[in-house]
Amino acid sequence: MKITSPRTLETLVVFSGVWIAASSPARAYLDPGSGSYAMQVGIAGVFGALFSLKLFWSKVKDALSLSRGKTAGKAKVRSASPAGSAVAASFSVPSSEVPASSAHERAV
Amino acid sequence: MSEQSESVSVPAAESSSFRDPSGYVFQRDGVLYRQVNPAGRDAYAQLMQGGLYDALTGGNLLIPHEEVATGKGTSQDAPPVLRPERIPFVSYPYEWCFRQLQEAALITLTIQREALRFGMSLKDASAYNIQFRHGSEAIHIDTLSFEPYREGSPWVAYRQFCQHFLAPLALIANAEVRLGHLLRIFLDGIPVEVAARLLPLRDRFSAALLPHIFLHSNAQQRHANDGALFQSGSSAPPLGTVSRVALLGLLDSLESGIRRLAWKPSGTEWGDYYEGGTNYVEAAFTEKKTRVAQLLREIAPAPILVLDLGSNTGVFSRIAAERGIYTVALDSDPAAVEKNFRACRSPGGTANLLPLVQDLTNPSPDLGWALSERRSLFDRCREAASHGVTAAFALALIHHLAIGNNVPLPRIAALFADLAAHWIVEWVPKEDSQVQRLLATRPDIFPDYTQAAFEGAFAAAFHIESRAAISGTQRTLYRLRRRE
Repeated sequence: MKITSPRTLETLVVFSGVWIAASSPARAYLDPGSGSYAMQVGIAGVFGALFSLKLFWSKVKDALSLSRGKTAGKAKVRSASPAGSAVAASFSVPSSEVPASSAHERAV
Repeated sequence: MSEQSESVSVPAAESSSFRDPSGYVFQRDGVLYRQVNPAGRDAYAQLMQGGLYDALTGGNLLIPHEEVATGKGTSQDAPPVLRPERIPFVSYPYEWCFRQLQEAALITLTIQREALRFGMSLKDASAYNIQFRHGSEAIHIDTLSFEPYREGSPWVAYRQFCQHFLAPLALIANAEVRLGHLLRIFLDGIPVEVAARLLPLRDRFSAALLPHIFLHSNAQQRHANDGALFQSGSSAPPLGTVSRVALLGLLDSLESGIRRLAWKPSGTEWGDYYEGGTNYVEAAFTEKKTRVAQLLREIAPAPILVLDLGSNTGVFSRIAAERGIYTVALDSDPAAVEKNFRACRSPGGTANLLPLVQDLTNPSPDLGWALSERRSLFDRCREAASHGVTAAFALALIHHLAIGNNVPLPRIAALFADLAAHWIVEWVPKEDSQVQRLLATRPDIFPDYTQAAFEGAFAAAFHIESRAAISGTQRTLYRLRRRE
């Protein structure tokens, strides 16, 4: 398992973040489960950070493909760094921005 | 949405509709309505006026409805009564194949993301809130599942989502397809602790399953007795919050995890049945399709619903669905159902065809509170028949029931008579190679399995309208009409 693999990195970040767990009150008709609440609160920061990272990478990817598009036809363009490509490929494009599922396709 | 002057009083709720205080579902004269209670009125108003309803119905994610007056003379102030678009045949998660559950999971996450965009949040994430419209299009049917989003709040339905969707999908994909049947035992979804014990060790290294199943399970156990603290400490500030970005990150992590799960429909008994060759030569198979189509056309008045029992991948179900008849294709093999559903979802796939996993020797029973929360397969078939003529196919099925499962022919006839008024049934004689295969490893204890006995058994409950031998085989197709 390569430590630099984005999925491994994601797993490690998630793993290390989860132990900081806390609780918050529930008001809904559905019992959310104390543990599930604690789980979310505990690793909220990890999910938030990962999501921000994905947004950042998708922007980097967009910028790279844009600049690649501009130079296409003139010269052979080198691909982005392997690490960068791997991260971009491993993380699906944030679905809040570009829907991809069949359900998304149906969504406005 | 349009308002109509129809008068609707408020009868008793449907047996499955009692948990959410914001409203309930009831039927009147065969029409389904949803009552919005005072407790749910504000959230409903926000859904309708804040733009979320239009966004979701426009994207075919939420069932559209019309508002009808309550008929109490206070239409301005009375809580609204809704008449949602009808789903022709209700199905349950324990009857879905992998892809059906996966699509239901993905639209639930999409809906939650849309809801957040409009300042709302899903207050439940029950797989029972998803149904299949036009056969294979997953859609959310609970208009009252939305509540205002409070900045910093965790997702109240997170646990339910993991139990209803992620845990069964992971078990099917990574452990064993038949573990999907656990959904029939755990009606509120498979507990993450159960999934954590059944999933293979390698899943602990999955970026989605590690937090949402394994660590979630640990957290459940660590905080199992925190309920009292929640109540007694209500005056204390919340111990933590979840930002909107973190919530989007949580949804994104769940979505990535669900997309990474994959199950290939092969290696089960029937998934490769046609590819592996049947005892039909191609000409006879074509003739069978032609004859089934012809027999279906002869049924008058035309059926509104066809049940195809033992449908395999739905070759014959499509004959009915392509005639515009809503068709429910039932098979016990999840691989066959998976292939059928994927074909429906592919470009140009057949509409109005709903494939479901269903073992006729142990069909879906009445389940849940008072045994009336989730209805049996047969009860739903009977209800469908109350809306119009229903027909059913039993093609290459009788020998599996009579010889494979030792059910006497009169009992098969009695069940068929209970389920639908019109039948197209294929008689498969003992000499047929498929029957011989069933008998190869066991003594023949079926002296009554003859065509004459078959006709005798079915004649008690049915008129035999026509019979046609299929050339090149020893099989016969019957069209039967129930005696009324």
